[in-house]
Order: sequence, then C-alpha cells, then structure tokens
Amino acid sequence: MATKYVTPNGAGSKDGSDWSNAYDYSAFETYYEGSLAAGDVIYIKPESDGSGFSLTSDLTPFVAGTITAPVKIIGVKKETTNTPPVGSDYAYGTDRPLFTCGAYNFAIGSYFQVMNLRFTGSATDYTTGTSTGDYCLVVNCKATNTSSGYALQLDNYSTVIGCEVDAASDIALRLDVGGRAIYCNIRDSSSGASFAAATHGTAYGCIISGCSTNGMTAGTNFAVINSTIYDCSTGINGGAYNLGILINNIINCHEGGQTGVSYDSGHPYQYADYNCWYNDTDVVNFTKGPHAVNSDPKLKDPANDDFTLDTGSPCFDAGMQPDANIGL
Amino acid sequence: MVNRKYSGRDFTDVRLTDKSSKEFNGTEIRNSCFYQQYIPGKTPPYDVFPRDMTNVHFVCCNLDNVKIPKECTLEKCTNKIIIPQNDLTDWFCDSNGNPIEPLDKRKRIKLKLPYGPDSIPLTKAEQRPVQAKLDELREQVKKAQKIVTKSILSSLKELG
Repeated sequence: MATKYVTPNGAGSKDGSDWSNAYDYSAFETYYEGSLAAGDVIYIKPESDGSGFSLTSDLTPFVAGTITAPVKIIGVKKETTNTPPVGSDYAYGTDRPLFTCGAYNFAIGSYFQVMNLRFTGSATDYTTGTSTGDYCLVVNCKATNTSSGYALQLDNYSTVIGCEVDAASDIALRLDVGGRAIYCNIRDSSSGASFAAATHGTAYGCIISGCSTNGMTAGTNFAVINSTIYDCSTGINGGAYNLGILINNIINCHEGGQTGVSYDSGHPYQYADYNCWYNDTDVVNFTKGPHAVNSDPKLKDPANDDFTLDTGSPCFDAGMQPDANIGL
Repeated sequence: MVNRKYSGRDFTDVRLTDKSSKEFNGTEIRNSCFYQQYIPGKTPPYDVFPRDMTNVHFVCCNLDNVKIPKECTLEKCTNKIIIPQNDLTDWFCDSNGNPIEPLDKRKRIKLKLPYGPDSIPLTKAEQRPVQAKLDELREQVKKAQKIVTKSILSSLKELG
C-alpha cells in the first residue's frame, strides 16, 4: 500500500515518494499501468500556475482495489505542501486538477475512489470510468465530453456524489446495477443520466437540466428522490420497466412539447407522490399520486442555474413529511 | 524555456493559426492537449499552429490530428490520425485516412469482439460494438438470474 504524489511536470527524482519528488505525467502513467496496487493512495495537484495534465493514450490500470483496500485518487490544491495532504487541501471548482483526455479514456478499476478531479475529452467512448470497474466511488469530480461519447461511466454498485457531468451528444452519466447519483448536476447533454440497463438505480438530490432527449432513463426498481428535472425533452423515460419510485421531486419540463415522466403502457407497478409537476405533458402511462402539486414550482432563475425556490413557490412544505409517522 | 501560456492547457478543437509564431518559437510546451476532432470530408492532420512556427519542443502533449510544423520535436507525445467510423468508434488511421485499429481494441479483445477494419459496417451502426456486447451480456445475466430464482422457489415449494 503505497502513497504517491503526482504533478504535471514532476519534481526531484520523480519517484512519486513526496511532493518534492513527485511523479510527472509520464512516470505516473508507467506506475498507474504497471505497479499500482490495492490500497494505494495517489495525490494529484496542478502546477503552481494551475496548469494540468494531457492524456497521450488510454490510461488503464490492470489491478483492482479491494473492499478493505480501495485505490484512492485524490485531487488537491496547487498550494498543497502537506505530506500526506489533509482535508483542507482538497480541491474544489477550478482548483481541481484538470485532465484533458482528447480521444482517450481515463479508466479506473473496481473498488477505486476518485475525488476532486476534472476531466474533459472528445472521445467517442467515454472520458472516465471503465467497463471493468464495479463498486467505485466518484466524488466532487467534473466530467465533460464534447463529442459523441459518455462523460462518466461506472459499472455495478458504483456511486457518484457531488459531481458535474455533461456530454454534448450522448449520455452524461451512465450507471449500472445499483448505481447511485447523489447531489449531482447533470446538464446540457443529449441524455442526462442513464440507468436503462441497471436495476436498483437511485438519483437523490440531483439537478438534471437541458437534456435534448431524456433527463434520465430508468431501469427496474428505480428511485428518484429530492431531485429537480428542468427543461428536458422527457424528464424521466421509464420505458418498459417496473417499480419506478418518485418522491419529493420537481419535474419542470415546460419549454414546448416536453414531457415530465413517460412509461410504456402495461407497466403500472410504479409509485409516485409529493412531486411538483409543471410540464407541457406531465405524465404518460404514469400516476402522479394523491399529494401531487400541479403548478409552476417558481424556480428562482433556472436559465442561470439557480434552481432554488422563489418567493411564493407552491413547493415550500409540500414534500413528504414522514416525521409524524416514524416517531420523530 | 517552458512556454507557460501554452503548457498544461486544453486547446481541444482550438486553431492557433492566427497567433504570432513569436509566441511559440524556441519554447517548450508541456502537458497540453491540442487534439482536433475529425471534420467530415477533410482528412486530418489539420493546421493548428502558425505556419512559420519553428523549433518548438513538445513534451507529454496530445497532438492527435495535428500537423506538426517543420523543425518541431516531440517527446512522449501522441500524434496519430483518429477518425470515427461507421461503428461509432474512434479508429487510429493511416495517413490516407484508412482505419487501422479501434481505440477500444483492448476492450474488444476482452469481450472477444473483432477489431479489424473489416468489422466496420458499411452503414452507420446504432450502437458502439462494445456497448452492444455489454448490453447483450447484461440481458443474458438477467435471464440466468430469473431461471435460478424460479428454480430456487420451486425447490423451496417442494421442501414444503
């Protein structure tokens, strides 16, 4: 279980042992594809002028982490000197190290945890994630694909928390069985989040906006809770899946010819309640539930990414309030 | 001398031909991505840098689909021709634009999918081969799970 340090240009002997001997990209690539082991922790920071990394081929690990020894890849601020870094060194926003991927793929393996990084690429495949990576965790990352591929794809039982994803011409976030998207901003994509091949997917506290086909595509036993879906051609496309669960969401697809939630006919085993509906067509083959709010949620300024509720919104105190029922 | 202005930056699909070559000449550019996406009907590489740019040393840069000006040198860089094909996948191509191998070759080998140029369909596919295969495998797993579940339930019934 090694701890490694990486900067774009590296430093000292470039053996990755500490910041003064940090790997450069080339040495990092050799290590990542050759001697990476379960339990390794990799700290990555930009150069002092904020400059980042460029992939020159697919970056693919040939090992996995384990449940007791995950591989951790953590982005920290350019000013970081602590060895190892502490929580206050973690990078946010444009401080996060940037990997420009071109047509290549920053892949991870099973039981990998990736935090505080940015990826941008134009791959027809995807910019990060991997078809072999189950049980992964991606936190506070931003992934953009400007071409016809996914921005972020993870395999079974993986979780994405606090991430921003967009893919100009494809699915921004593709998850598989048991995939979870929590507090994510999924936007301006052909299709926002796809759970279509996945059972037991969950989206909690997400904002999904500006998707030209579907905000989300569901799988069987798919739950969407406390999320806002805005300006998507179809907010949630459930297709032929059963057991869609929608609670406490705002579904506001009202820009002309848009639909809130659509399921194929003959799949009535769904549950929804306490959602706010304001769409050109609210539902197709779907029942809103007895406590639906059927009016404009009055989002403050969604065109400029402010999805908070404005004064007079009917959504204040209109969500499910389970406290009385569970003894709180 | 490291060129701070053009190092460690994302210049994907950005053309710098209108810049003065003085901004580049005699410098070292590190860790930048100058990748240019394929423009339909126009075989790469494309002009990205000023025509009279000279003596630039690139290190760890992505220069795929980029025309390298004379007397510039590359170290640990990539400078390939990449063109998407009818299978919706990016392929490495020769200088005439003929496909050689797909970028996702490793995944195809793992999934026992063909990866030669003859595997490219004549018309545009609806789905990438790797994704189609993964979806097919998922369906098979689902079917197998159903059969196992039915079998366990029937065994439990028999046991009373």
